[in-house]
Amino acid sequence: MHYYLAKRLAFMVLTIFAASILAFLLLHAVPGGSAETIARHTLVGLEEEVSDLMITEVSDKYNLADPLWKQYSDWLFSAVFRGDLGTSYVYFDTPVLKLISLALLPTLILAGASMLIIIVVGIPLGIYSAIHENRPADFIIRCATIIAISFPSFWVALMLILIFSLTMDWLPVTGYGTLANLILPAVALAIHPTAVIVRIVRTSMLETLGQPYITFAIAKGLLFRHIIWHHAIKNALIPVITILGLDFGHLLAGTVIIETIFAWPGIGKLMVDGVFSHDIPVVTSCIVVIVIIFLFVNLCVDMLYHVVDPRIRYE
Amino acid sequence: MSEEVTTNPGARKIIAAQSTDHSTKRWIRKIRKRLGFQVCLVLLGILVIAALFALLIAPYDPNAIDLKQKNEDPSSAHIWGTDYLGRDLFSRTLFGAQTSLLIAFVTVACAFAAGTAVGCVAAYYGGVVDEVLSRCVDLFLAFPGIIFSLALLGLIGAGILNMILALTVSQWATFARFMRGNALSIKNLEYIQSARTAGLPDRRIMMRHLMPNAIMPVLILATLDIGSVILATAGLSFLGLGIPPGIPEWGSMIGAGKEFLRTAPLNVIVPGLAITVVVLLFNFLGEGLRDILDVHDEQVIPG
Repeated sequence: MHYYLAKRLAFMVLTIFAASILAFLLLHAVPGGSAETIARHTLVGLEEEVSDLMITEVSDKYNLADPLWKQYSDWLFSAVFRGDLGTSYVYFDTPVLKLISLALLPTLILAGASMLIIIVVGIPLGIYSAIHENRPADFIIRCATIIAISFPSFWVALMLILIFSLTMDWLPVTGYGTLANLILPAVALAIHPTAVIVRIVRTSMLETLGQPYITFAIAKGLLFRHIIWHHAIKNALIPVITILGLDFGHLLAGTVIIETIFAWPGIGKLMVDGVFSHDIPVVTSCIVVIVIIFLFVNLCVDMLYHVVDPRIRYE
Repeated sequence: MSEEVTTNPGARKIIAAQSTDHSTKRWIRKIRKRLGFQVCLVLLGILVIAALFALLIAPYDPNAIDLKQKNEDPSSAHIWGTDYLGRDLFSRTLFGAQTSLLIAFVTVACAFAAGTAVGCVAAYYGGVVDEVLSRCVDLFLAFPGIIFSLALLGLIGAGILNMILALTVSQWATFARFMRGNALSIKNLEYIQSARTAGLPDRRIMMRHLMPNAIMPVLILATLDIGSVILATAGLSFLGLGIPPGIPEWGSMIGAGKEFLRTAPLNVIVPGLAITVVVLLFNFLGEGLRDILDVHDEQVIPG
């Protein structure tokens, strides 16, 4: 177990390292990353006024004339040993770490709230659908999930705003800080993964219900409700845990668009703003932070697996 | 002699697996039984034809601005109403289908080609080659790819080709992993072994024997992936990335129309419904294919 954990952690560090190289090189190698573009983007509205002197200044300030490998190793060195992810090109030289630490909590709140919706709505619906296989309720749930999977999340967000904010006037459109602000973005973000979870729970539950020990329990004359609660659900939900872990990553990716719509001050919005203003240090760091959260959550899920099902051993 | 072969169940199984003619007939029989699948195929066919001939079908120029008729409700002149610049929403949605389908088909084709090639090579050679390629695939699957597409697209700038490139980068790895798994499972079957023993060149074995027999489940993944690529394209262009102005695209129509959500919600509702319906059709198609080809794996559904 300890050996397995060590191996996983080592692979995680390697993946983060490789992802950071990929992000850094790709974003620094493309034409949009030149000192000239950055200088232009710092002068909003006066883009054409950029002088050669300014370009050299920008280039010197961020060491953009260095070869890429040196830029990367400098960045990595200060990131690992000094916790310094560089400074933003745009937000008046604010350290990137500060921007990220401010944005991290809102994103985790939003993703957490969506996760709660996925679990509380998705799992019971999936179980219900499986128990009522091929009856009207099952048919309706399956149709609803396949439609929900086809919705673009940003469009759902706008429809929710149209219905609940603009027409009914129940909930605020944008903003951050109260529970009312959280509801619409969390629902918009959760709809797609909830539908996926319903389908997976249903399949897994049907598979479990076909197992010999369930047939035996029925033959023994146990109450159907008892069989579902005590025999089927626990076993059916084990594979679902992995998908929930992966879903967390998709939620983080989804926040990119949803946060922009609802002006939610999280990592996603920070990254989109960074992309538009060509703020490469911010974008690179956002990618790395999202990768770290994603890998960490998946590691935790794998550990949880062992707790839930002691038969699974990691060597 | 022939009797001997057909009475031997093992041999029959191998013959059935190898003769593609036989299984094609079986699929056609299976398709005939499924009304929903046929309806879905027909609707998709109509959609593709409508998108291809948008120029002939569309009643208006999708970019013709008419400020006197902006944000109008549906009428006999404009069956789906007009947008915030007085452009005909039906014509724009139709041309949007062209853009979305073009991007989705080309992206999935590129990701499919790259992914199956990498997966096939990794499975066939094994050893160090497999190790290196698989770690690359793991890396691309280690984080939500759309984030990478977004960053890349923002920096290389708008353009349909750039959009395809950025999306392919985030999609190919799933195909590679899936293809590798399938190819591994048939790599040690007798007919591959005998082709090797007969001394056929590696490339020929991969192209003629390994690829065709491992590719079917990957095709299902591809149909399901078309839906998610359409969603991803729409999402990125909704943010204002990827699609240059002047080209009608559903995501950018919604992005521009959202400013008028209160006064003229049709600007947002029409293209959104178009996306939903098209993605739904592709999801049904993938679902039906999975049924017909008997691949039961929920994990195939991406995202």
